[in-house]
Amino acid sequence: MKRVFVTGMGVISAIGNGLEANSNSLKKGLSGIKPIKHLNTIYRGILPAAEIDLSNVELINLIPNFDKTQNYTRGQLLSLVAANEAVADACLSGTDLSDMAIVSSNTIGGMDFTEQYYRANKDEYQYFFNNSHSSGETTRKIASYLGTNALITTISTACSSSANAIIMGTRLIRSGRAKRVLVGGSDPITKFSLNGFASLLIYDENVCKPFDKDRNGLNLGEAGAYLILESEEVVNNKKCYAEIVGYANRNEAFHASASTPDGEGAFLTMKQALAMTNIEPNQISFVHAHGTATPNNDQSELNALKRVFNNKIPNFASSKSYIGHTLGAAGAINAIYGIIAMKDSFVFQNLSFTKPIEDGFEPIKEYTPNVHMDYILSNAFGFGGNNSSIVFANISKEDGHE
Amino acid sequence: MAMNSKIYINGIHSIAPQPCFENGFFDEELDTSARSFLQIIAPRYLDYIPGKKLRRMPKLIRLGLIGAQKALEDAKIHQIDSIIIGTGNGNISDTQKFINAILDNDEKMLVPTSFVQSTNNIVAGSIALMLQSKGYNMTYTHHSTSFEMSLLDAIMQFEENEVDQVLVGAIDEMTEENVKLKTQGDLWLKEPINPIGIFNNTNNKAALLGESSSFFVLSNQANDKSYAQLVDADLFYHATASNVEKTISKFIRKNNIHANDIDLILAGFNGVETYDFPQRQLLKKIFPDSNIAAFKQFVGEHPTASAFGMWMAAQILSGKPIPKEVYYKETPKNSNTIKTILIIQKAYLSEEDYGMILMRSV
Repeated sequence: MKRVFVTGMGVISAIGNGLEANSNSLKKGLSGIKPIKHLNTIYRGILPAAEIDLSNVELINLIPNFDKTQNYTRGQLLSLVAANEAVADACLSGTDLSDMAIVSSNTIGGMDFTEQYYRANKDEYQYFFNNSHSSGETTRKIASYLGTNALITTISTACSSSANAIIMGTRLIRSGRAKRVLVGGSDPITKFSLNGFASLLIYDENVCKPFDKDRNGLNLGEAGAYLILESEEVVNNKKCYAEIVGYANRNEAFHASASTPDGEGAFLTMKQALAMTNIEPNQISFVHAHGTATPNNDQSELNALKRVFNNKIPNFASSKSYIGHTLGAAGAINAIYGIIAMKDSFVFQNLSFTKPIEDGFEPIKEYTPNVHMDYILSNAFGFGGNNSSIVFANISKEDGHE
Repeated sequence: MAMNSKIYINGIHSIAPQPCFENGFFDEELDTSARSFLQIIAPRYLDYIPGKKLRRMPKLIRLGLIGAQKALEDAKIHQIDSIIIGTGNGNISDTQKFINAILDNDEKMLVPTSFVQSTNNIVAGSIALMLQSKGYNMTYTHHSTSFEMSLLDAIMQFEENEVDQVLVGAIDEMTEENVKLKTQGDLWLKEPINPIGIFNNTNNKAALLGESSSFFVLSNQANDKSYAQLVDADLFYHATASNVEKTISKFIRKNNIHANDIDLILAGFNGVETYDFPQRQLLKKIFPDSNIAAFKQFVGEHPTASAFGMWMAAQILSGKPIPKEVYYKETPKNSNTIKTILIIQKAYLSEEDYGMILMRSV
């Protein structure tokens, strides 16, 4: 089995365009959650969400050599912005790109166009719905843009989607089927998802409070987040952020839209991801939790963490109070923020937390620099009982890699 | 790593617009009535799903739960290690229901049921719930290669020695509303047509919409009724046209098979000449000695139609006689026993995605 390294990353979210902007906002504790400004909804100005403060036209202008004759959905644009940064960050070009596999993900595809043009006239409908609704269309757009002649696919496992994309990309490289894979995901904020979570009565009217006793639900966010994974065969001496050393995908088989209070699914998943590595749970320095701030998720995840770490939970935080719940991008953005923190040796604050769910189990309360981390664990859980966890190793300590 | 271990297809099941529910290979008379889109022959849902649950259950989940039950029953097993589903379009019914509710009620008084059920992974999640299967659970939603990627994922899991039995399914539905919306344009047939005779008319400019649901139990152990071996599956996208032939040839070679070893090709032709003709030319060039057959005359055009092709291939490789309706335009070159089948499907309308499935007799 080949070893797999993260050699490039790209992200656009409500707290910034690009790795540096996102990193700075995490360090400063700046939340991107504000009253809805862009989405055309009855909740505009009322409910908060983590919108990216750029129009589609402004997003297009961020993409070099972009084919402006075609109409792209917001999810496609977010994907292209983030994928482009990841490709540049890993210094890939030419055949690196044409041979690179793509495992992308999202939960609602081109829903922004679909809900806008669903009852439009037939030409508009054909143009917008037929050509853009399907989740896979985003991946095709990335492949066309990058000139891919290789395996491309799209994963849609609700809010664990892009964690599963990272896992599948890793497996493609480990098995020798690919040398490079672009992995990640995106989702825009839509009326469909906003009303969905609002009708489930798990949408907080204020900024969400992950792992807080008085948490009251989630806020939606939008993002694109992509990583370049490369095999040890091609990575040579180039810059590496981290090595992927463990992962797991498990189903809880409990409920379509809820987790067991004891966190059985999350527990099994984290335990399996750790079992794949040759490290002990106490070697994990930081857990980037899924932490949606719904009463159900955070209770369940906290209990799972207590079980995995035998009541000695390492530093943990959720970034949902910065960027909201970014659905299809959530797993990849969790991985990227975790890797940034590990690489730059800092932990970020779990924003808007005041009261622990249970005494003694508090998330990180302030930004702290100079925190060395050897291994981090990143979680993403979704509807349908889908749970995924990934373990990343800090490879700078290895002096390159054997 | 068990690279050389074989993968057997031990259970199969398909729900399609033609009679096949009990795994007869077109034993019953085919439905040749003219239709403008092909709907599945609905099973007797109540035989498999309790009435109380059934009432609120959308078609996609119904088909998924029955497909999983029947495929497991066919393989004579009760538990699987992994569930992998491919669906090009996901749960269209509930997606449309929730969009309509939002638009009709101006975002007010919404019930979340159809939102929760609209997620693409709802079928895989519901099967896990039914079987209490806490293992690997995955859903691919990538047009016409959703099913091929599901197979590839399963193959990789066998190689990784993680599993003994995997359930792989493919499912796509067509709703009345979607048919109405789609056929506003010129891409889909509006006039009723006999689906079995779809290749007789060379002037078709639009495809016949369809739907199907097919499930397979893959295992690393053969049993007394293993249908076939799954040798390999792969998929690719080509941003530039030149390498399609090379990529298909490479896939065959990688599996130590020569082009002339392929006895039968099941191709995703759909009767639209501009789509079928170039594919046929390409296949004849790469596989001059192989017989060419098709599967969309039975299920219509939809992203995961190739899974029905795999159901047919499993039947053929298990030794069942091939119905003549399977062959595409020409009669077979020879009637020797068919030992190796390649299923190949190219995406319709956006034509850059290719999927390949290679199967062999046990």
